[in-house]
Amino acid sequence: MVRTLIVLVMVLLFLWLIRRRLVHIDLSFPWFLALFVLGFAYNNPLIDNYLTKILAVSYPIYAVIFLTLFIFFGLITVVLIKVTRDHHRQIQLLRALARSDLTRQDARKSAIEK
Amino acid sequence: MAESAAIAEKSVLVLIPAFNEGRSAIDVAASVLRLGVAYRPLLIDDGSSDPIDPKSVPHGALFFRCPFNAGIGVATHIAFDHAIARDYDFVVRLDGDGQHPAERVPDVLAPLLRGDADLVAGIRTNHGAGQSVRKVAKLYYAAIATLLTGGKAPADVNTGFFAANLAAVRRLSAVELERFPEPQMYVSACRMGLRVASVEVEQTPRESGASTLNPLRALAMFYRFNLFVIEWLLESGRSWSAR
Repeated sequence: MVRTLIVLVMVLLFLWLIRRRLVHIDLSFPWFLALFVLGFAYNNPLIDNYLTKILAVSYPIYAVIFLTLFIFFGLITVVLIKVTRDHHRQIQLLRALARSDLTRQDARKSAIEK
Repeated sequence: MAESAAIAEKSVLVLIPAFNEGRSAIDVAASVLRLGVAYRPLLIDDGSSDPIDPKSVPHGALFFRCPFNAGIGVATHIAFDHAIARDYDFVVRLDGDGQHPAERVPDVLAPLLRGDADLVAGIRTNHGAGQSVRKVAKLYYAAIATLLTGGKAPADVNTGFFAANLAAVRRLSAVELERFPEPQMYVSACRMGLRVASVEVEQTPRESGASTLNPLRALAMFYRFNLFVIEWLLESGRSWSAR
């Protein structure tokens, strides 16, 4: 009961973050999926036992920890790719802005000097 | 004398990136203007917390303020973009902290004017001075750069004082330069087949501000350089196996 409640609170918190526009809805999907998978895995002994067997680990908790790390690594990678793309766009915009501003300044100064 | 007459017919864009070094960067820009009409200083405030007032920039100098700290590599790209757009003959970079003497710019430009080089590094005769960790790091960069370029890289691959002709600028603008881009830039220039030369320059003490190279950033720089080396080795291996 407590486990289910915790998962539910986390889901609600996440939905609140999306509603407040603190997390972009498209970017939130992998996180929501991860929360769903992990919440389901924690609450389902059948899945835990299956993962324990598949991963050949001694205890179900190790399988869940492994799954958590795997999902977090995936999520961080997704976010890093997104941040890197945005960083490149930001730099391109900055360079375009500088190009136009400096061209204008240079043309004006050259005209005055002549 | 012949060189100073030759430079008068050319146009030189002098990049002065500054991060919290407003006063000294403005002095550097003024020193560049005193060199002659061929020189156009380009002062870039790289998102300083204490921004440079555009009104205090000397008349005749260009000024651009980055809304955030983008790094010296991005400032270098901005200068390269502008030099290409306005057809400048040469681009020179001087640090905004006043460590690179502006009066040595004509000496660094001389090999370019003679047509002996495409890129000239103003190597610091006193660059070995400082903390021992820094010394070891600089030796490491120099040794790896020498190995990668077959001895063509300058002895000091960390110097930010350089001059390049427009052909080199066009080629180097394709390289992605970000924070502390110097070692990568010199190695890339050698790999591209550009003629790289060196001129010895005495580095003067910093006039204002502090080095942006704190231990964490130094570690990040070390990490970035090694990744660049690994990438280069993988690329070389690929092209070697394709032969």
